[in-house]
Amino acid sequence: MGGEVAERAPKEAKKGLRRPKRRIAIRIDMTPMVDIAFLLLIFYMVTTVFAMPQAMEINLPPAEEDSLQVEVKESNLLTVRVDGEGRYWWNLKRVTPENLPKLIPAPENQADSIRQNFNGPALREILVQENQANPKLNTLILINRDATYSDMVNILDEIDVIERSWNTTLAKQLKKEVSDLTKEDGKFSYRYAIGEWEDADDRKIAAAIQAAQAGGEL
Amino acid sequence: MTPMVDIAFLLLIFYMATTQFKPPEARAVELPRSHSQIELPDKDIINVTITKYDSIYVDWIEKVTINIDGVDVETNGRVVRTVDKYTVAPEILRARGKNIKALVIIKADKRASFGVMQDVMKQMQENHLERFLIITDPETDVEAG
Repeated sequence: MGGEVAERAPKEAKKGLRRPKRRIAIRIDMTPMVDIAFLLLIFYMVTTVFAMPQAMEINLPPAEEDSLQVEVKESNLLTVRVDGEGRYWWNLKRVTPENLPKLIPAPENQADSIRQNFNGPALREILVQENQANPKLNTLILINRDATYSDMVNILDEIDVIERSWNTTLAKQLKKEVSDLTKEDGKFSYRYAIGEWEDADDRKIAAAIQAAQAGGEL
Repeated sequence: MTPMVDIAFLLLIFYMATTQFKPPEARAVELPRSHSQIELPDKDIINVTITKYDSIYVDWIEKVTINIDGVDVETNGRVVRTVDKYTVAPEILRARGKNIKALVIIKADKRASFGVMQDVMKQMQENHLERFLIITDPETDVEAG
């Protein structure tokens, strides 16, 4: 380790031009440094993962008004609302003073301030539970214009995750590939719609906020 | 060994200096996260970008002919258009007119308001552009048990 100092014998003065001087050549062993450099190089090469963005497919229903209308029984309706503050609310059936939207509590560790109100596991649990309780369930998603785009993606993602996991389980039972599942096999496709937020929804949420504050949830 | 190390460092520095991890973007977008596993196509796409300030841009690559010293050279050029909620669909349709296979990809910032997304989706719906992809980053699920 370290530098080695090699002493060279003083050169014999040739032609008397060069001063007779003791020259010291320093040799530093660079092997350890190179080892470290390569180690780091290989480490970064191996561990670097380029986070490739992924896509989510969206299929909107056609705009023709009459084909768009789908009658849904009130008893089969689950509504998930995101208000202007980005809070998530859910309720079954119609909103009445006795049946106000319930708050989906924000997760405890709010690591990401953008998604601080989004509680994926809690929402997923509600969606799974209600869909198991009622196979005819239709989910209506209402998002306030002032909420963020990520709120929409969050909800659609949870729906997608549920759909995929149930179909994967089903495919395993039938010993089929997920892509080969048909409706006859009981392939699950989540029924949901994104509706339009209306002034009435603001009033419903205002009432729900009052109730949540009275109950100490907010 | 010194020459080898020289070459190694030269290469290292060369790659460090020239690597661009992300092409510089004029309109930076922070993507929302999802569990989706669909891979993104890399050609025949029309990008719709929505920034956190709710401004909308449409861009796509099309064949353009440029004249260099009297010689027409065909090359790929990226066309970028600044649009609003009323012109986004017509602009997409114009881009699709040049490449009918093109798929619409919406790349929106997670902080963009839902309202602007709703407007864009409504416009697309009315113009029979019902199918599109939205770009997300992979989810980093660290769920404390």
